[in-house]
Amino acid sequence: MSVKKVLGAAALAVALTACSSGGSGGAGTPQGEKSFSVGVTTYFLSHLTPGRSVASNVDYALFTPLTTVDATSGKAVNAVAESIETDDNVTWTVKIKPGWTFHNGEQVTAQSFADSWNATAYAPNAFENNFMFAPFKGYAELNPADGKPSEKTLSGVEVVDPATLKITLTKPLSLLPYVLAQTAFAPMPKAAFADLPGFDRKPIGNGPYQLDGEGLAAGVTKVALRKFGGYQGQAGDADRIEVKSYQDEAASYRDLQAGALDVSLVTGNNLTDAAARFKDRLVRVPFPAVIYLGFPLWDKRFSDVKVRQAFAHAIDRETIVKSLLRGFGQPATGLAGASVPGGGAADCAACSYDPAKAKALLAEAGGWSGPLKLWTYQDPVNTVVLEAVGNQLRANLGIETVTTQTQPVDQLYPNLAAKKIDGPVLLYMGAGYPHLYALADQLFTKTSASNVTGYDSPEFAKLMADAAKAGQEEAMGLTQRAAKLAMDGLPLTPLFQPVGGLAYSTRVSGVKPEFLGAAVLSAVKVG
Amino acid sequence: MASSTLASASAEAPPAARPGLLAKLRRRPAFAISSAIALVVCAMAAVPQAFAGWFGGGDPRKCDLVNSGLPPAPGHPFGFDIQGCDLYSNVVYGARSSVLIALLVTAGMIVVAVVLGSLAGYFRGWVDAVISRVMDVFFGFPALVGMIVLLQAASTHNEWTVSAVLILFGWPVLARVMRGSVLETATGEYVAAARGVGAGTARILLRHVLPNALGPVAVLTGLNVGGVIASESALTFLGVGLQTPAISWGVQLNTAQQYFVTSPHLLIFPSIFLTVTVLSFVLLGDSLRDAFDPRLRQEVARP
Amino acid sequence: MGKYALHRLLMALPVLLGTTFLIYLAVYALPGDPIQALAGPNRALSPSVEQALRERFHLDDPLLVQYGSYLKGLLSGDLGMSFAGRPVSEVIAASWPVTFQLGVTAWLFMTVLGVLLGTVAGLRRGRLADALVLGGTTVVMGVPFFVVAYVAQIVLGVNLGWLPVSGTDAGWPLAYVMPGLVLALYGLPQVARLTRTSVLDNLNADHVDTATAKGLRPRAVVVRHVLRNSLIPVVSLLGVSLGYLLSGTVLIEGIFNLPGLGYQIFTAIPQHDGPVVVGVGTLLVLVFLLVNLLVDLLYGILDPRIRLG
Repeated sequence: MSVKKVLGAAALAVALTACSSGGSGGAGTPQGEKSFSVGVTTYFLSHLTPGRSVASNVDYALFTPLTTVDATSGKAVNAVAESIETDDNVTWTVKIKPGWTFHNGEQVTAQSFADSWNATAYAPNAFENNFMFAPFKGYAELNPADGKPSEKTLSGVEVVDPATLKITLTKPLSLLPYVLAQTAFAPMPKAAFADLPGFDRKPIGNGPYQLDGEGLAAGVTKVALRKFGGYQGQAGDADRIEVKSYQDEAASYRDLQAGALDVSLVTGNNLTDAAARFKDRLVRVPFPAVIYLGFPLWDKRFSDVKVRQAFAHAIDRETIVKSLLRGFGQPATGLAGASVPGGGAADCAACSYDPAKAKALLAEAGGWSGPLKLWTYQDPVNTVVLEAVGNQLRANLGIETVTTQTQPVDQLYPNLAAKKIDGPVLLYMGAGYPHLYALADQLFTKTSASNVTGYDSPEFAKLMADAAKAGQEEAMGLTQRAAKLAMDGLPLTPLFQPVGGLAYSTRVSGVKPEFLGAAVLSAVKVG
Repeated sequence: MASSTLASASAEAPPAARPGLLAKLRRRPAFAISSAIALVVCAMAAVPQAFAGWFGGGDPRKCDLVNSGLPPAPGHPFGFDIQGCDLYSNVVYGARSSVLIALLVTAGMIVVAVVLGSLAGYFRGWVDAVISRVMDVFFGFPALVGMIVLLQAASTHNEWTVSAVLILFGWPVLARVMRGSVLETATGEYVAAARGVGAGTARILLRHVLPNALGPVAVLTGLNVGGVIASESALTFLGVGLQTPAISWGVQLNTAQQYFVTSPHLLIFPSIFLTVTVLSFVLLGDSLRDAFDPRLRQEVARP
Repeated sequence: MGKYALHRLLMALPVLLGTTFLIYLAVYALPGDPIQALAGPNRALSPSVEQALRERFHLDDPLLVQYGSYLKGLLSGDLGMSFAGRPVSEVIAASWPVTFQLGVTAWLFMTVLGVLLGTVAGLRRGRLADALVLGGTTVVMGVPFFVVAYVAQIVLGVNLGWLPVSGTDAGWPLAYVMPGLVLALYGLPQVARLTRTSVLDNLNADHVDTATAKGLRPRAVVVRHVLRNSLIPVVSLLGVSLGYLLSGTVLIEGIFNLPGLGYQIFTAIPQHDGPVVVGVGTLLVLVFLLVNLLVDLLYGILDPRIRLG
């Protein structure tokens, strides 16, 4: 099940939260201390260094970046940053609030950010989030195609004085404040660089909670967080949080039911059960993501847009969500759901269920001959949804032989990159940051690694480039036009926007999802 | 299949054929019941269409998603699976993969075990040492881990690849029994006698040692079939066995366990079929063993 | 006997070496890209980081070179580094107590319950108790283990609240009772059945008749003559069934969220984390070989007719 879990975890990487376990009865907990426990997927506790972590709720408890995305408005607001200013969306000046310190007492300065960013951008460190720094000037020097980099620091990151940071990008990006909200852009103290592996196990952050005890020793499935008294932002309610990791989210849900946890993410088929059992103690969490069926544009059977439209019209999204997912999902009418700033528009004209039109379109395009193979990666939900899609395509398009093939992520993605996939592929894509621009950029920009369909439209690229140069309001409109254009071209058809749940025990309250779906740990109230 | 092997083995056995084996078997109710069930399951695997239509459904691929996970209804005695297909006809069709895998694995394991086991048991010395050490590797290595690795490595997961992996990690059990059995038989007086009259090695092995040594292996095989069917479902559960849209009990159970709380019937019906099938094969092996030779109980049990 | 033990230990060396090579070969042959596995589906690593990782873990070296350097490290006591950047020895040190406790618990359940049920069935041959044991163990063989595990979790853990559902928080023995029982079901039918047939055989044996004829009380006959002799073949089975138990930990530890060796190896396989798979896998084989050596020695003590060597 771990195979599935790894995928599931990654798919929901940003969304998973916790289960917490009962009472203050935990070992060594002093009387009267407020504590709760939360379950997360194993994936969340693999690395805690900003440049290596997955921006989970645990990472946000330990670190506070320059900005944060407000859960209600979906806007990027300042956190450690006092102000972020730019005239051209290329050169940015960031002022840092005074008084912020790391858990070890060290001041958080412009240098703390520069050090962290340089470490991640420096290829030989092999930090997983390295790719996020590609828009920064000087990234190419730190990541040469061959050999050792000539530089160790980004030329686009300049410490003007302890409270001022100057950022230079290679091209305009008006959404930089959203980008900076990820924990990959959190600061690191001087102490980190004496022992990077040690820091990864027991990081010293600037967030509302600090890591207690040994941290991430090998084989550890549990870490404890303790409230950081010197935190300058909104302090957390609990004094202590126990974070337990689970290979299988279903196991964490069972622990919640058994009273061994206080907060648990609920996914897939447990949602129906949780809705009945936990009633108002189940929070619905719309993920800023889309599950879509991508067409291999390099396969000439799919080169005619009418074929793709026929496929899109032949899928009954309403029934898939209602019957198969028991209502936990949002049947797609467009690329992004309403929870993504800029999303919510019904920009996918071909997403309506219309079997007659589907058949007619396919006939116009010359019909279909031979077998059809559908692909996805190993994941319990993907698998059943893909099978339902296959059944509908067979029934509604009259395609005789429809088979499905499931591969592990590490096989499917290289195969996609090598264009070795011979049929539509069902995939999950989460917005890298909360903006329609992120989703559109990841899926449709020619050079994006997540553009698996091979979509390439100069017109789309032009609109996106304009959006990146424009101010926030204008950028939104341009991005929406770009998304509509891509949806008309239909390199992929959205199926639904996933919805998960956070269930919690009677011991806690105030459980709310952060923008990306996980429970905000500092917001959970005990008692 | 096991019983025919036994019959021929006893017919050819030079010392004293065991008379009345079948008569003995026939008197045991467990044998009658279990072989009847096993026959039905095999028939289901061979011609599922003959069974699937009994209640009006019949096409396992005729699905309406609106019925997803609904409990039993008229015409659909087992209810509907998660895709809204008739569960009864799916369970009937599911017998095919399970039985096919059971047959393939059993046949493969016997071939490997008989060849290597007799070589080791008959020639002893370094041949035995090498084969026994290889067996140790497979015995000691957690078989499931090995199977997971190999099946991850296989790009396709069908009846053939799953069977191949099950054979690879299953043969040592049989081979060890075969080796012990050959060791014992090869020291028998009639083998010495055959050698005395100048019979060649191949002739001795094929005519005298093998027929007598096969008994325990054949019997153990019956017991093993059940285990093989259960293993297939375990591999599928781990995500490395058969995959949808293949229809198999393992696939059905794997999907069902996610819906266990809300739609328990998805788990119950395939489980019943799986359990009854495994049970019938185990009982069949049991009765064969008891009837064939009480002495075998020790042999079979002592690995 | 000492010489025999030494001989067996020496024989174990090539077995171990062969095992490490086979596992290494298998992990190396896994299709798919370890780097992609490391990144997950929603992250695309930059080419420069990919290159750095390939160099760090020697992913581009040919198989024999990789294996050679692994062996070299092994000789100096270095089990290598996992992809997560932790020494494999540390991973093993942290996980083996969990697997050890789980294995011992399951093994105890299997032995005690198996021998008990088998003896009862054998002594009451043909009666209700016998039928129940035979029928029960057959059903257990047929029900998929994960069904048993989920039902146990929901009934014993969630609904009745008797036992913890998962994790090791409750410590031994409480946390290990449920997973131990489920794991024990793997080998229980075989142990019970073997004990039963063995008891039956011995009940009919000459020396038992003699003892009864001498006027020994039936209880004494059973304990002194029947049970002792019946257990000899069972002991051998208990050794071999350890292999099944170790194998089963891979499944059970996942379902019950126990961070043991099986859990580590199962997480490591999809990650192509060779050093962890090889290190943990080899350790499991080593344990299996040692326990079986002990079992064989014990066998010789129990049954003087068997001479070792």
